[in-house]
Amino acid sequence: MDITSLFDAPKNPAYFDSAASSLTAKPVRAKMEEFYSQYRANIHRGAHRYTKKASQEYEAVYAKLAKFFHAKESEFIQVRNTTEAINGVALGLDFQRGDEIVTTSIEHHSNLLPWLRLKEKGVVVRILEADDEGKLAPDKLKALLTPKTKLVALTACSNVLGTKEPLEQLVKVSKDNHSLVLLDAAQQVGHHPLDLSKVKADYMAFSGHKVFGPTGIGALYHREGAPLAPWFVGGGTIREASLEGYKLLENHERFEAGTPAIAEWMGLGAALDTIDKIGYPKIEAHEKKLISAMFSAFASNPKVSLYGPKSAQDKACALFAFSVGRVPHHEVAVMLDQFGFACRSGHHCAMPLTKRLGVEGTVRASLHVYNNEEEVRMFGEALQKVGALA
Amino acid sequence: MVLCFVALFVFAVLGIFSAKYRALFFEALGCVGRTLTLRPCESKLDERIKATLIAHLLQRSPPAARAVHKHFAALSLVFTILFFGSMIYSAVAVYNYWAYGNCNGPNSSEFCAFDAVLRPGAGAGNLTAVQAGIGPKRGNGSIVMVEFGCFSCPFTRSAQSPLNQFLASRPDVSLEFRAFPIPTHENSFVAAQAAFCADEQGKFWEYHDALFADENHSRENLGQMAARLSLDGTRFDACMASNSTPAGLRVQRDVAAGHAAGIYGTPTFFINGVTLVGPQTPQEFSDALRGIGTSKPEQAASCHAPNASG
Ligand SMILES: Cc1ncc(COP(=O)(O)O)c(C=O)c1O
Repeated sequence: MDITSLFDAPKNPAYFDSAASSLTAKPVRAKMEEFYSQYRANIHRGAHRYTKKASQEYEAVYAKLAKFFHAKESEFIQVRNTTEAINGVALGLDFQRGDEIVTTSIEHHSNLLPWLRLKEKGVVVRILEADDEGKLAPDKLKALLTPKTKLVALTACSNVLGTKEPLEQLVKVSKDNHSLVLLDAAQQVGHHPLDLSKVKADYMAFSGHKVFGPTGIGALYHREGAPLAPWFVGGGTIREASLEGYKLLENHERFEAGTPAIAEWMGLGAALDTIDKIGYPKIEAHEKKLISAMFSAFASNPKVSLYGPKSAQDKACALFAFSVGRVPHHEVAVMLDQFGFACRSGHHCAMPLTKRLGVEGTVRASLHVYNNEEEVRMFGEALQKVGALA
Repeated sequence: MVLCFVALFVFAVLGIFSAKYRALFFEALGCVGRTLTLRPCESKLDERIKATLIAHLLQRSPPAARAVHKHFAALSLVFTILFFGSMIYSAVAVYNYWAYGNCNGPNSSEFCAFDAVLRPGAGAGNLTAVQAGIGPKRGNGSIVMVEFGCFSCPFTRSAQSPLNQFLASRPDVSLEFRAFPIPTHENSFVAAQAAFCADEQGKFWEYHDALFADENHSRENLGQMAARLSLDGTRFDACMASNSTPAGLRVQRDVAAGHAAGIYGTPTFFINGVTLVGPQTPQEFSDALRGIGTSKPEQAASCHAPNASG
């Protein structure tokens, strides 16, 4: 299986911004094109063969999700992205004054702001502080939990530090406290398997665009039996409606109001197929090589300050936030772009974490399966050049 | 921040030609707007310009890049001052051009870049070839190069030495001289008339060389030059009596022919279909002769005719 043949990976600049959005795999684009060119129709509407075929392909994605995450088809809800999924949980749970939510100091704004907003309702938000390398400690979490902790919302992997977290234990500690658990798996699914039969989170969110899929599509997993009310209602969500009221459908359909993103959903299915086709072991092995190559590139450059884990075994993915002396992060990114590397700079939607690192922003290089060690070597050279300014 | 102002003007001009720069222009405009209202520039345009510049420098000279990076604020301030300085300078030039017909001020006849662009019919591209066989000819070569020159023009004068070098190396080329006295130059008309008076006595080229050798073209000195070349003084004086003697009329006809050809500065050379304005190196003459030269309307050094064909 030649990984590079699955992507149109740009060469100059090389794409080093996969944490923001991965490249879209060719089979994903092909799947969407197949829908548009061969059976473009709305789903679950009428009897003609196009709508039948479209509905079939559409429904098949739920089955794929279920198999992929070791869960049930009916436990997945289509959303636009991780942010929408998390907001959905914040709106769909019945929070009362005095309820407590625990989230962490390394969250993306998408897994922080929806909880902070609930403070208006009298909800208490507690913060689990990560250590300097971004590691979350289960016993520290345990100390924050009380009988009133309704929800623990944590990231499976920080989009700034890329730290490997003890997910199973964190979830277990929370479940032992009878709290609900939400996992922000945006940075996880593209890199490591997530077996929801083992990691017993109640809610899990991820975005298609970070897992080789299309933009504007994502999924929210919602464990059977865990509370959640639809945050939107309308067409497609009801069993019956009258002028007096309505009765919602049972399964995921009650959450999916209106005509869904049909092509993108199929594209998401194709993205999961692509991951399966490459295989997580191969993705992990490839990233491991990239991670150690990146560490050597950074180690040979005294001008670079690296944030997060200092050793390869603590990294969950090839994602590195750094700064070069006191050269402004944005300028470093522009220079790296000139030298052939598309990196992101800024606070990466994690302002509290960036502040804690003691900087205004960082440069982030995030790599994926379509990157290679030769690129990393050249990246090291480019960093040396920029280092001359520091 | 100051960089935004410069960027605004630069991109405004470049934006005329390309949509890419048009977008940057609007970005710079937003940035200037914010700067003027003392808010930070959102677009980070200045940072981007700076980093791109430094990245290019890093490829060539890391120490230079480091220095620029370190002193960027000061450098961009200097750059901005220079930029606005040159803007003001250009504005003055535009005013001069409007008020006096010359960008260098009322009493200058130096080359003005606006001529080539603004004067209708100006620029070598619009010069029409002139007829040969009218003026005095030096050499027997079958290829004729026509020069329109002004004896009082420093550029025509400085053109002579390379021109002579070229002619010496190419016996197949002959030079024909046409007078194009620049009115703002003192005595330029009488000097040209005197040369034609010498021609009447068969000594045009000797007198021509003497005029370029001696800058003093007062009526008295012109007579002394004639005496030194043993010309008949009475005949010479009669020839110089007014500007409507045959020699004077010759000058006027040459000037009219020059205007008709679209000449706006001296010296102007016509050779083998190529027009050259201003002094040239021998090599440039050779190139023009071989047809590989290009007409050069924007020759920086030439004497400008204020009432050229425009
Ligand atoms: C950890 C994490 N959570 C949430 C998000 C938000 O994802 P989206 O923009 O697809 O909603 C991101 C994306 O950067 C992320 O990295």
